[in-house]
Amino acid sequence: MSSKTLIAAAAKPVILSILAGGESYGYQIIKRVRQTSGGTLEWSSSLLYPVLHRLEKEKLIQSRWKLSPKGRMRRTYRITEKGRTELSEEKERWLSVHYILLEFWKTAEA
Amino acid sequence: MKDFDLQKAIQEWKKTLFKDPGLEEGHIIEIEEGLRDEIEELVEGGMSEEEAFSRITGEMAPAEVLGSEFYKVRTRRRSGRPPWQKPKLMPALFWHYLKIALRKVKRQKGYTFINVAGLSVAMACFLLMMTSVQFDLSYDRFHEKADRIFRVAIRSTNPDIEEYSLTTSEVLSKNLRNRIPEVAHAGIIQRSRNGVFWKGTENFIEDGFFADEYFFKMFSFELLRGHPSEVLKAPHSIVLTDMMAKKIFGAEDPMGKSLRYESRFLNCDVYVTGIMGNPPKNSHLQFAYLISTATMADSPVMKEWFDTWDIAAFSTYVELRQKSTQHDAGQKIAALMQEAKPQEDKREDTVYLQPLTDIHLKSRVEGATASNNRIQSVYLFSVVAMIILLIAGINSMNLSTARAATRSQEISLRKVIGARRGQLVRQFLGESYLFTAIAMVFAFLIFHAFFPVFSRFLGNGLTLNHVEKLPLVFSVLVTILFVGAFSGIYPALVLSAFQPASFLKKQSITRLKGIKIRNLLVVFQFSAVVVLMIGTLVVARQLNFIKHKGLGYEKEHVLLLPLKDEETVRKVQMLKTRLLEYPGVLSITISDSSPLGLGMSVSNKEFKKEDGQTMKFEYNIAQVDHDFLEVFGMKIAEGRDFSEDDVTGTRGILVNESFVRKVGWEHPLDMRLNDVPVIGVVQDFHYDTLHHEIEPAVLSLDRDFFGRVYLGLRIRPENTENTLAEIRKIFTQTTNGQPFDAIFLDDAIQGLYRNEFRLASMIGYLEGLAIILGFMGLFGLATYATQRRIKEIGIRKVMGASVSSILRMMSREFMVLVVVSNIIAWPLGIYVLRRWLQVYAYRCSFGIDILLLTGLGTLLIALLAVGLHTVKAAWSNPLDSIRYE
Repeated sequence: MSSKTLIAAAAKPVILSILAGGESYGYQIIKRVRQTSGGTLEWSSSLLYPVLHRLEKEKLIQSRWKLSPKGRMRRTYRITEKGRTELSEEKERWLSVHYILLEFWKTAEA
Repeated sequence: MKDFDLQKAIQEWKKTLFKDPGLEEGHIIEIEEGLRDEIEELVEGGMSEEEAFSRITGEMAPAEVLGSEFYKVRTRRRSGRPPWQKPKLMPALFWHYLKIALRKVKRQKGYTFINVAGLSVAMACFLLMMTSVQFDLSYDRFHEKADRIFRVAIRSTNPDIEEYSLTTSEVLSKNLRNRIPEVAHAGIIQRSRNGVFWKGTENFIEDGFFADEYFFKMFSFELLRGHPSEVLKAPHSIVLTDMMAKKIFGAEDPMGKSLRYESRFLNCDVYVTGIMGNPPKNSHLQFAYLISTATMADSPVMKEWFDTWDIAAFSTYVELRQKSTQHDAGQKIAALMQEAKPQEDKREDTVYLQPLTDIHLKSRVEGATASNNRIQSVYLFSVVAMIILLIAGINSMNLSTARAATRSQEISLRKVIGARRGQLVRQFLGESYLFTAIAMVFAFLIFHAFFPVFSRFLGNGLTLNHVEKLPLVFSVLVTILFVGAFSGIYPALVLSAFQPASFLKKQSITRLKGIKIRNLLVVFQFSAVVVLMIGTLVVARQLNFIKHKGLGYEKEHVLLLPLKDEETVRKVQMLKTRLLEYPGVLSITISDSSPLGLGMSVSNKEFKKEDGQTMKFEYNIAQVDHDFLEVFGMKIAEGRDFSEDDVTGTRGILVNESFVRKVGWEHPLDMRLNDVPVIGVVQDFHYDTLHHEIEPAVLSLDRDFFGRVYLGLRIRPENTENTLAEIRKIFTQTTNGQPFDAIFLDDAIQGLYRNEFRLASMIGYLEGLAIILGFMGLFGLATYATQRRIKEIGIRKVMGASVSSILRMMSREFMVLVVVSNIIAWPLGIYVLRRWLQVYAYRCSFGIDILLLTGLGTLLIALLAVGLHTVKAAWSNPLDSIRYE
């Protein structure tokens, strides 16, 4: 799909949005991204895990270890209050960029 | 085929992750969990475990990328770079090494001082000397067409002498322009000496040239006012340098103003047609004005010098259209001259086109227009500068290997925890560069502080403006690179090769192979000191020899007074009479000669010997009056001096002893020269520097002077100040204010040896520097040697050893080195100094005494360097040193 910087920039709002829908874990997040984007956005684990840790450090999400149904240790993440506030701010920022671009392209086509 | 074991594959894969310091166990478990989830899903979709595993791990970033991404999240470092990864620009552990090195600087102040001080003084000296070398090499290169301009030199093929002459006839330049297609321009110049400029009643004496209109077409001297092709075209034109214009006219506009020019052969008004910038100091042509040669051609006396091949009075310069045609053009010019020469003078002189840029350093020609340097002295300068730098580099090198003893712990520790040899080499090299860089900062300060002194000392007018910035920066960088590498590489290799086990076994690092090479280096250093010391002593001895050598005349209390214009020359007899009335003046002679040089030389004169055979040889003629021998205190060996009855040279001549020897006369007083009887033989006197043998000379009683005219005055030794003032007064009154330009004969003689005195002080300074550096090096080495053996010294003292026996023990090793250095350096020193002395026809002798003196000197220096520390150690309370541990 798009350039590396855009993917990296979108990582935070995407992860926060997914976690706003409920607790999740690494591979599940990768899968959600793949499905929602229809395969155009493909995240790798080397991108995702460090971002998750950074968000946790910033206290936007929280992690805990759980046992998976297959009996393996799994680290799951959920959004914090601070994360939700951040998400709504992010939403506003991305939408405003989105609308601005739309306006530009409309006038360009007209 | 082997079955794929997923568990095993995952374990192996995890191992690679664990190797990366950026990944913690938690991270790896998390990544593994994701990996397993994805594999399961792919396997459910129908893929084999093996395929799924290799696909996913293949797409995953390598462990170090993962690790550094995780590290970035948790570090506070601004760069986010994990410390175990190489930075992009700095070598690994750079800051750590810097910290260690600076800590060393702080803790070992003495060592740092010796190292940095030695290096900075040596580097400053190197920079100064290289600046001078660069300046010498830059001569005449500022001319745009420097590579295409040549000076015409003529080599006489007289088998007896290999001599170049620069004087060519005016008509040559015309022919060059008209008949040789390779020549773009050809112009002539002639030195204007002893000319006086008058502006009203004020007079000015400066050196300048007569030059023609091609001067500014060829050379790139800066013409500030006037048109290059016009300023020197018309008769009576003069171009003044800015300096001269300001001196004469001050704030007035000089253009078009007139000046009176007076000299022996030319007295006329000249008009300022142009103003030019002062010639750059690195030009072989130095002058304050240029008068058009057309002015000479316009004068009744000098016009005969033009349009003839017979009078060679000018230097000719040519500009070729292409540099490559130098050889062809040279041959054509030779052919042209051969064709033009009169039948009776068919000597096969060869013409040589001397490149403009070679003139300063490679001229072997006589009568050059400016004092030249020799390319040999440029080489010598560069070599000595390098040696000084080497000595300081060796000091630094020796000190760092010697002090390795104190670093064996550090090296062992580094090696034990896994430092590779390359890393250690880099660390020690880096330290050496750090020291060199610190030293360079000081060197630069010293360079700037001493530059004016150095420049005055060289006397070549070098200023910092002449030092081109780029080459200076370049040589600074090269010096740092070289010195840093030179003084660092050997200790780095020795120290890094050190085995930690030997430290654990309490084996000292200094006992290792470093010691042999270090001794070698000390020997090299001291050999350089010895050679320079021999040089200092021999040069000083030769100068002393020059000062005290009997020259065949009495040089004290004799005043030489050149007469500048024809008018004064006409009044010379009256001047002599008036001056003799003053009691301070003992005797006066009028002549064209002085002990500084005889008036004319006659070349290739055919001559009848006693046995009737003819021989050809060169001799010099002095035109003198009756009092010449008396004023200069020369002695008659045979026959008599001129008497008042001898009116002119027709009655008789005097010859010198060399003349008699050369022609082999047994009874010179019976002989005649050109039909004039020889009435006396003068004892040989030196009328040139001691570089030259005394040539045959003839003294002829003659008043019809053609060249220069001097008054030689012998004055009373008492009250010379007053006498000088009185002579000046009488001279000025009699000559209506002609400039008084007298010089004492002994001062003038001293001036002839200016280069020798300069060389002597230069070698003296360098020797001083070399001694200081050598001393510092040995002092440093002795410091460590004493430190190493401090306990031994303590125990020996307790057992009853005396201070002197300890000093003997400690200094023995160094003394042996110094003796070896002397033995090595003596033959070299003798060879070099013999070569140097060969340029003198008359030289001092030197032998074993000078060698013994250097030997003794160096031993004393070494003893002092070693003794200072040892005595201190030997005097200190032995308990202090033994108690340690």
